[in-house]
Amino acid sequence: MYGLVNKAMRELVVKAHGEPVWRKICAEAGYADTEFNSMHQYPDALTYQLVGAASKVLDTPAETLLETFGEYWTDFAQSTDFGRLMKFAGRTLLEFVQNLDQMHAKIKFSLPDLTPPSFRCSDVSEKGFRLHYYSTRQGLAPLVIGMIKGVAKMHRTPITIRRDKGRDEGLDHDEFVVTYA
Amino acid sequence: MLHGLHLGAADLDRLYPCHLILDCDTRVIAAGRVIARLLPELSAKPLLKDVFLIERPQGATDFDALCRARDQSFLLAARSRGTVRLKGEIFPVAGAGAVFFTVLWLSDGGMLDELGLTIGDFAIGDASPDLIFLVETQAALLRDAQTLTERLKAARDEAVAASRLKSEFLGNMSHELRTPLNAIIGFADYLLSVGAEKVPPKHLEYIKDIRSSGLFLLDIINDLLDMARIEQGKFVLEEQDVDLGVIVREAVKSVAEKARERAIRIRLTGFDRPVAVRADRRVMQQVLLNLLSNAVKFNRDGGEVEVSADAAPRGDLTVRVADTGIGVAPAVIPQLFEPFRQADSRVARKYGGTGLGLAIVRRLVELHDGRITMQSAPDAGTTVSFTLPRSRLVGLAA
Repeated sequence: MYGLVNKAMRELVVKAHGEPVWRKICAEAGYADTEFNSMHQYPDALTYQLVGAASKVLDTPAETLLETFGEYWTDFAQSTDFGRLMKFAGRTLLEFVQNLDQMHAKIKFSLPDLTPPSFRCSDVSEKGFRLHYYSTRQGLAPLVIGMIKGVAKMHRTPITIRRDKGRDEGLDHDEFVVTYA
Repeated sequence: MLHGLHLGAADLDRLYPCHLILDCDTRVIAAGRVIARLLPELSAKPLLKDVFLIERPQGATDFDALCRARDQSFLLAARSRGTVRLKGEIFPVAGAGAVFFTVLWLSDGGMLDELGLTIGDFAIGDASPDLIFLVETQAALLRDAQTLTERLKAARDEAVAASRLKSEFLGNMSHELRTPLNAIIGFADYLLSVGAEKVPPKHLEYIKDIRSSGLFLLDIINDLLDMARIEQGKFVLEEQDVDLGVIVREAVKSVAEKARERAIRIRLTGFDRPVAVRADRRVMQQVLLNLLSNAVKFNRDGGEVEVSADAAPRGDLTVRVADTGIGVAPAVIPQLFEPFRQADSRVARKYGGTGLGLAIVRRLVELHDGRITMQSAPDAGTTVSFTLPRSRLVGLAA
């Protein structure tokens, strides 16, 4: 994963719990440094280790942390150089999600090592839509829930989101039901 | 119609959401959905020149002139909104007018925001957003690298400042320690000179201990003071023509007693005639005495020390001090030339010393434009060589 993701996690922890706690998490994860270079490619395993370490240090389930992090990610990305590119993805939550694959394809042009997930929408109505999430990475469904919540907030669209079914049920992807509140 | 394929208005709009359709009077009679949204005045079907300034090609204003420029690249700038610019080409349709196949001309990511554009406003095949993404991510990469560089620079400045403070502190402290120590050694000397008739024999032994401990401490303090002066750049060489052979023999005399006690033989090679260099005599004494002391200290009983002088490639001079002692692992050699480092803490406990000796020697040799190296292996002895450049050799050897 690109360092930008780990950097966001660092910022979230530091803002909420302070620098010493983040140092403790890095030590627990066996990461000698405490900073990340946004465009540097880090092993996925490091991100998982950091989440595991944060869960232990903060005594919070990893799923809760991932969802919180997902929601924070939108705020974080908006505050970085990628903020205006995020607006470019769409004027509404639905448009944004529908354009995500195209966005990732464009980002991959300059970050060739990016292995982004893929999103597809179905059952679109005025009440909401069904979100299909495809990824080579495991266990990140809570992160998607948080991220969609964050994007909805960015578009001032109150929603509820729940995971309906997915890889645990034998599918090759996860499905979420997004309902406008 | 193309091989049976029909491309309708909706297809054209999808492929070129900023296209313009002109009639033969150059009136814009239709426009793509994106450019129509950005320039609402197009809905009134205005003349092309009233809405756009034709920047390229210049002079093409009437319909015929526009059509004649069909092989050229057009740049159109909206008169009502300076940031809206189109680039593309004109495609005349016989007797019906012409189509401008144009795309938005973007130069930075800020324009996306300013014009309220989203990814859906571009044809999938339009490379402009890809280029904008590339530019934006590269800029982000540069800013990131810049931030990291600044952070590293700040950390380095802080470390340099701390190191300078430490050197100043060491220098001041060493100076302060040396003054009372001189009094201690001086009075010990006096009491020893007064002799046995006035001082009880047992006390005389105590005084000898005070003196030798004082001298030992003085050596350490002098090392610290030298290191501090070198690090502060205050160490000034007093250069003159010196014969290294003389200095080596003086150094051998200084360690001879300790060498004799442990049956260590010291051999000189290449000093049978003067080895003259331009150098600071006191500094060269310090360098050679340090290397010889180490060679004896870390040798085995009954071992051997050889000091030799040889011509090195390019006419430089190399002086080697080789012993048959305990040696060190090659991996720790670089550490030994750094201040306050010894091969391991057990060495420090067994043999004493500040761990400054070789670090000082290295700096002193470097002050003479020379370099120093060490070859060693555990239980296989150690050879320390320092090389002085040809420019330091003087013609005394002739």
